[in-house]
Amino acid sequence: MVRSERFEWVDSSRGVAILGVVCIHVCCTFLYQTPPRLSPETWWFLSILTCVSKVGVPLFLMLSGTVNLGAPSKSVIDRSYFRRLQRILIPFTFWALVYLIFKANGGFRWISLMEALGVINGQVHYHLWFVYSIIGLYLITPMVNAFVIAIGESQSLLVGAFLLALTGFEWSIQNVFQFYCDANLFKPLPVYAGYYILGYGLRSLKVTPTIRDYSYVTFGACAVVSLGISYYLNRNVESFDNRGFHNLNPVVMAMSISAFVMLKPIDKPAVNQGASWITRTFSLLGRGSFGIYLSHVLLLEVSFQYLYWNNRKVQTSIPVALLAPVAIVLITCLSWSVTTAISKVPIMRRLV
Amino acid sequence: MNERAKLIWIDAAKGLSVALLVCMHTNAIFQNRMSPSNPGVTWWILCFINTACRVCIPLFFMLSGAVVLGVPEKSLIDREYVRRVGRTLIPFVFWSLAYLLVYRLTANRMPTLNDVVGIVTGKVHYHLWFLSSLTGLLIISPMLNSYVCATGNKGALILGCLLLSVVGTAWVLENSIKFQIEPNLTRVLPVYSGYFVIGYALRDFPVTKTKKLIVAATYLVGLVVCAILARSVNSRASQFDGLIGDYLNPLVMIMSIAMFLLLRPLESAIEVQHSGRVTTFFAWLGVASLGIYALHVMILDNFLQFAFIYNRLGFRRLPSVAIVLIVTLIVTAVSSGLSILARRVPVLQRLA
Repeated sequence: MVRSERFEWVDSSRGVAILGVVCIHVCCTFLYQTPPRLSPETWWFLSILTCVSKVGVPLFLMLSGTVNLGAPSKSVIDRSYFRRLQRILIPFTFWALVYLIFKANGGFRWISLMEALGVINGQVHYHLWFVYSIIGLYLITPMVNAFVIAIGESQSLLVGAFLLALTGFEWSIQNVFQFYCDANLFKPLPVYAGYYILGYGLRSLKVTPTIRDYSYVTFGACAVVSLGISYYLNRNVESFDNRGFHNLNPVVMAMSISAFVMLKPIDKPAVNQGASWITRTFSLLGRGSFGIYLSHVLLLEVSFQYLYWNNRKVQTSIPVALLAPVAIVLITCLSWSVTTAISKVPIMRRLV
Repeated sequence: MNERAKLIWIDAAKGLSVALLVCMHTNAIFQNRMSPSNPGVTWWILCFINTACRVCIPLFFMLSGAVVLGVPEKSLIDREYVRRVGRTLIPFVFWSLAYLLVYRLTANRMPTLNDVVGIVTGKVHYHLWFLSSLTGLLIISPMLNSYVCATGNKGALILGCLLLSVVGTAWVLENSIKFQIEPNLTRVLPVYSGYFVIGYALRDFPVTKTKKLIVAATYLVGLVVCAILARSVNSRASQFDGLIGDYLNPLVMIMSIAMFLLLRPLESAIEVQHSGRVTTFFAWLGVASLGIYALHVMILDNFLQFAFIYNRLGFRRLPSVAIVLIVTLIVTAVSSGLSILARRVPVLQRLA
């Protein structure tokens, strides 16, 4: 009970994160159009939305670290370890097969056994990269857990920051200077392990109003820098260059950490203060976040295929700047409804 | 006495590994010159020598794991940790620079800034990959150490076997049916961490006479199967293909573990009586193993140029197998001599 109260804010933060992820995918549907057909104002509007939403995935990783690490029983490879893995693997396998069956042109067709094995080799659908990453982190959780228990939260903070710095450095020199980097030295752990460990290290951070103010300022400043980089990279290109918003870009890293601090409650957990309707809504979203993550791209692609791309009238009459926010809200609500409906059916409960 | 015996057997095992390594590199030069499409007795002998020596690198990883893991204080990131990482990182950078300079200058080319930066990011002379891999393992050693301290030998054995089997399965699938598993599922830890952990798990494994016979038989069976597979892989190749000798091949894994267990009884032998001459000699080689490892390729290349290209020693008249053995002895002797000398110079002590 104490544990669930302690991490009540995690659910609402997950809600914010999943909304961010949906927002990125909706905005990128327009940003990635080739040749670019957006007016400068619309481009800026969508870029700002994408930029502030980019903290979604790092937030998920940090929140997973906050919840998964630090419990002594999780330090061993036992039955509960496999049960935890199962909780991700079953819904993931189901949805991966659904995506394999679903074709990008909006139709469905049956797949061969070899195509089904694509689930293992990672060739399923673009957004599922995150699930592979989180499975990788879950696989090493017993080791990471034993380690963070041995060193404590403050040293974990340093280790997480060091790993992020290493990954950020490697990403920068590879993407800015095109240098080859030895994986043994720069990636001894999965690339997102830094976020995962940092999430655990930050959970005991006492957020004071001053710290929160600093985090607002940092978030804003990093968002401006990230937007500036993105604008510079996309001045004369045919297809959208996302390096300015990449999860391993050091600017996005700083922005994500600020967002984590911004979302962490200042004093007592939000539930004890009488959570506002906004917090309750995000908590609701957060509890179904994995299902929303898995299902929203399918709903997004199907609805856009039939209602937007194939419908020239809609394309010309509704401006993108209006359509994007509406689509974000609708897709989030729709995928939450699908997730909730599936979770109510006893046989299908484990699929979301 | 126990500690002393442990140190001596580990040094002796390291000495044997480095001697096998020199032999493997010497052998490769001759094997690469022979056409594998029409193998004679010499080809087969060289193939067996190559396969028998392939255990050297896994042995190094296992011995490092046996030494580094299992000490509770090593769970922390402290001065000792930095010193341990530095002990491989500094020689790695130094020897990479040395090879770059020597090979560029002998080819009358000046090293560029790109070459120098490449060293920091891991673009180095072929044999130095091992040092960067070992550094990667040492970087994450506190995490592995916390885990093995929390779970003991049994937990370490399960983890080591799990890591090796996952990496081995991925290797087999990739090389037999060209099926690549998503790296996040198989390479969550450095690829050689399985060897590292298993080295710790088996460091106190009691090897009785019966077990010794079983592991010796396992090693021999592995050797024969590997050689036959190497022949089949090379039957249509125009140049020698070393795929079967890969350290991630499950057969090489089994052979390496068998060799580790074969060397284990050395400890109890040293405990009961004084180490014999052979053990003392290999222990002496083991102390200089880092220097031998770093230097032998440079000496090998220059020596072979001297002996073959200029035919100074009349080597061309001898059979290849004899040359391999003679050159191995000479190169090991010269590089160990230089390494021991370097260890006496305070500035160079850490580099050899």
